[in-house]
Amino acid sequence: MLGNLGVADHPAASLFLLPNFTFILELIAFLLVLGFIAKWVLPPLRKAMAAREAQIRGAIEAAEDARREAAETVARRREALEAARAEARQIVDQANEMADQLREEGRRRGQEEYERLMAAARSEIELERQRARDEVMSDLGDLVLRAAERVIGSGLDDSRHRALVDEAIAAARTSGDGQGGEAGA
Amino acid sequence: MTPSLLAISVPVGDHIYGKLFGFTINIDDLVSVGVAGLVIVALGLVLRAKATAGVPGKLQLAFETIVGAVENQVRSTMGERGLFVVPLAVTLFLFILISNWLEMFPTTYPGHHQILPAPTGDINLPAAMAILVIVLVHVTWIAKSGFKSYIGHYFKPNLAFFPINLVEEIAKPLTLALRLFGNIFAGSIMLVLIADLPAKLVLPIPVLDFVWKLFDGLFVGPVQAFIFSLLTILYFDAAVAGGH
Repeated sequence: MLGNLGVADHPAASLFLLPNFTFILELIAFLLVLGFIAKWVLPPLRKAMAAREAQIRGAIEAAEDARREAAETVARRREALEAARAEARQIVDQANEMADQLREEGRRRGQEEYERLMAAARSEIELERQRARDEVMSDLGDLVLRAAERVIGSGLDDSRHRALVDEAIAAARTSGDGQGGEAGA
Repeated sequence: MTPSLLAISVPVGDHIYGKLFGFTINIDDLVSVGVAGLVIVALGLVLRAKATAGVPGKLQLAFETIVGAVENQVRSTMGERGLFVVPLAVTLFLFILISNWLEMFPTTYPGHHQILPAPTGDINLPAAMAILVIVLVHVTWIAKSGFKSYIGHYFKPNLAFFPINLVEEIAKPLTLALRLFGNIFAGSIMLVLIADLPAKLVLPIPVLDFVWKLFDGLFVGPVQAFIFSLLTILYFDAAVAGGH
């Protein structure tokens, strides 16, 4: 079937622009390769490319979801932060208000205690003054009697003149009370 | 070196010929096509075994890049309805690219033929692929728009344009095949010319040979494969659109 291997001086060499029977054989060879590529190579290759494309698309979508979730988390955190700040402001305001109330209450109580202590002190002072005046007045009778004895040079009837002195002292006390009351007022 | 001497030293259309069923065949081109096909099948089998939805290997990454680029091109021109062209365009690109790269391997021995010439540097493979593409384009046109619409597009925008449209349709497979063939064939001629250069050169011949193969492999080969695939997509675009 195959025979007569020729060389460059073969008659066909002068017709190099015209196809010969090689054309048919090479066409068949090409069609075989075309069939192989179309049936055996491209389908698995396209399948792998499509699978990778799907993987990449899935990864991109997952990344997009993660990005969206992260953005939502940031937004939630910002909202929580704002709420916490608002709550903190409210607490501070309440604390300030309470502090003002406590300060006012303390000031009021202090004022009341001060007034109570002042009133007690005044009362005590008045009592002490009264007590001192009474002592002074009781001593005053003795002093007056002794002074009078020295002036008149004779003894006085202690019981009789004592009543007079006490009466004078009572009058003086009444008079002193009236002056003390005016002075206290 | 005179131009005439140079012309004599360049073998054009030089192949190892044989006979099959009484027809002449280029055995070296057929071997190259077989090698290119086996390379693609081997790469495809490795890819099929190792294809993963996880981190792709270098081979899978290369295939995905090619398939992705072709699919994007198809979607941008035809939309989803043109995706049936992707296997053909991908196979064309891979087949042409691997075939072009065969030229880079040093398989020529002094006094002998190149064992693995780029099969795209021979008219048979480009013509086979171009005619297959154009036939499929016309079949698609008829299948998508109907025979009446297909015939009608030869007479648009009016009857006077029939000769122009006819020449355009005939020129499509010719230009598609000859563009690829001419570029790769020219590359192989360059290699022969470099090998025939006199010894007194600034750069040694092996360096020139390497530089040219690098340029041919990195730029001309991929560019021609890309152009063939791109034009295929564009021709199918016109067929799918029905000439509208």
